[in-house]
Amino acid sequence: MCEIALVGNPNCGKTTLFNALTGTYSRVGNWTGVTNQAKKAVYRKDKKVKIVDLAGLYSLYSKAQDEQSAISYLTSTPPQVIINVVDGTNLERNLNLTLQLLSLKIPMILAINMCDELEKNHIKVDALKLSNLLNVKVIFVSALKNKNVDKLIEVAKSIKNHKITRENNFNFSTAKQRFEFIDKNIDKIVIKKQTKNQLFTQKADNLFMHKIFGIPIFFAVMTLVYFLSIKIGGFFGQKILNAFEVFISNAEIKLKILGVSQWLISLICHAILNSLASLTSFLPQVLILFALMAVIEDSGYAVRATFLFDRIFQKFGLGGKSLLPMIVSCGCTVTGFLSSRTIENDKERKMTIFLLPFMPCGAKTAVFGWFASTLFNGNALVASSMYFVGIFCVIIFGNILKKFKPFKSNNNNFLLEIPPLRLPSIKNVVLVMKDKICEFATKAGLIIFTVSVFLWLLKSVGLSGYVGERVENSLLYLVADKIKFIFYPLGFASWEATVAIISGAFAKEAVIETLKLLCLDVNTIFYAKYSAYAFMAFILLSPPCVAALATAYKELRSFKWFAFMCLFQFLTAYLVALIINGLGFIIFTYSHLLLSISIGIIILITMVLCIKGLGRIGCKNCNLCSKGEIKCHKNKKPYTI
Amino acid sequence: MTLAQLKTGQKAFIREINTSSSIRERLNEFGIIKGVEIKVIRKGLFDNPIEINVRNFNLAIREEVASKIIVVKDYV
Repeated sequence: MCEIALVGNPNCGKTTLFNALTGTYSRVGNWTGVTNQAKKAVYRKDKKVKIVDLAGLYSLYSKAQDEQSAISYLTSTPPQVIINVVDGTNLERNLNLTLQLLSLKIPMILAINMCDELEKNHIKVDALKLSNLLNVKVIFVSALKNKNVDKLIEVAKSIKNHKITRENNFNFSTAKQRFEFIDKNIDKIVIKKQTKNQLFTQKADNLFMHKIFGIPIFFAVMTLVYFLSIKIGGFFGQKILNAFEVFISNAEIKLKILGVSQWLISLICHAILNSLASLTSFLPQVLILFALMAVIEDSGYAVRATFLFDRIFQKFGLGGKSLLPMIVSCGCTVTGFLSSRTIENDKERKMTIFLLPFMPCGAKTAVFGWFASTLFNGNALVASSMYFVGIFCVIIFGNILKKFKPFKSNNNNFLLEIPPLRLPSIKNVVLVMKDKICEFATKAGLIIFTVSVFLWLLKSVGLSGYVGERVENSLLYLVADKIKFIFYPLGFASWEATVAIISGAFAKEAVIETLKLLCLDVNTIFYAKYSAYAFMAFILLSPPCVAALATAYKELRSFKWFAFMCLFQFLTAYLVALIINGLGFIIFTYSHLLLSISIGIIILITMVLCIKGLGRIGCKNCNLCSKGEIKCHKNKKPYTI
Repeated sequence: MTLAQLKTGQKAFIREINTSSSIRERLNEFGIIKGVEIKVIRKGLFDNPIEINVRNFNLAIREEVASKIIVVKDYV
């Protein structure tokens, strides 16, 4: 039994090597933090050899959250052999970790990865000199092209039982000493040269990370991603729905003929098959979205986006690394939560998790689309305005949350490595899609499935037994009718709306099904049109569906935080819906009074700004002046205007 | 002169790192130590973050950190 660990900097191809060695398929991505926890699998040619893929780390003494799992593995449960995977095109920095690993006294091989790129660019690395210098075996590999991958394990097995006696050579205690050693010797080992890829990246980045055009380009890319996934995915999704519809009605007829009891037919067709249909119709859209996201991550473009948005995100207590989870959340909140693992700062990560569900996920967007067509004459603006409501809430509540201690982080540990752009591998994209299908089927499917059945039960069973279509006698109605008063200030205190919200807890799409089922005319359950809009906002901001909640609980790892998150989101949803309903009421009932008050307020604000503006005259170069003080805070004397 | 004050495309050598010790240690682990040569590749909107090239790889750091790193044009 032999345990071999792959250790190295982020982005140097450890996971690709792991996939090649074990024949399993794990997520690869061209940015730091994709591999989070240690993955173990057996070597495909020898089941007695276990390979461990660790998260990338820059240093054994790092305090970054996402490097801790690798560090604790190496220090508390060390492997028998270490394969130090280094990026051949970036040797200098990688050797820092190498020197640290040597002091661990574990048999080690240095695997110089990406040797195919070295060859293409005629970069010669003197492996012999390096080997003699560090007293380790050095092997060139290309995980991507499957070169020397098996040789690596052969050599690892042969040095498994070696005793390490290099005590005095590499006892550097600071990074400075290590780099001084590296600097002294690196020129004998490799000549510094830029690869063609790096040159191409430089040119491409002038566009992608352009100060002014970078962000619009990003929005264009994201719009394309969503357009493709919704149009193409929606097309196939509709085909699936149609096929299911035919299948279900046929099944219903066949079951009736067989004499199966009504309640069982209802359970099978209306609960089980219907929810299965809903779920599967969603799948094409999700698959395409995730495949395109994988392309963005794999190529390294995601890092560029993080760079562009870091400054903006800091304004509301987050950082650039929260961007991708938020975008991914617009597809499915579950994946958004999973992506948030890459945020090193724990407080930032928690805050991201709290705010993520405010972004409308695919299901919520479907709900808004349906509302727009049934209640608002198909006005598309109603549905898309929800994106802005979500973004607005992220900004406002981010600003509020960041003032409290559990979320206050003034770290500037943001050190983002910007790897060269790489061509996304088709193999990887396919793996992501396969991964996503499995995940979708098990987690979401199981939960939505069981809960749909549960909901159906509550809807179909009353105090006197099976009630079938007469929902007014069911348990669900009895419960909903009692609690509907909560929503009175929000304008939707009807039992149908209450049931819809409850069913939305299981899957937001269920809101549509529930409302379609329970009311003939949806207008009747809302106080006014603006109450319906408040309802939409409530659906947007309230805690996400069970599948997402389960993921959030796993990510937060604490019931206290999870409960806190649910409460926070519920209160936010209530508050915003209240404001919308309240404003709507005031605007439409007291329009004339409101007009004069608004004009008065605008005049007042303008006057205040003028006075503050005048106060800033005279204090020219002080960059603290953005606070608009009346007194110059440098010399504490008021201005003489 | 601080790293934040360098213009895009300029090269310089690190003279001192006056950030908090945790950030300084992290920078050191990336190979950003006294005497190393860096080049400013680009700056973001509002000059934040700053992408630098050091030891043949690119790293983005925030302007607040860069303003605490002292650089010199010629290495003494």
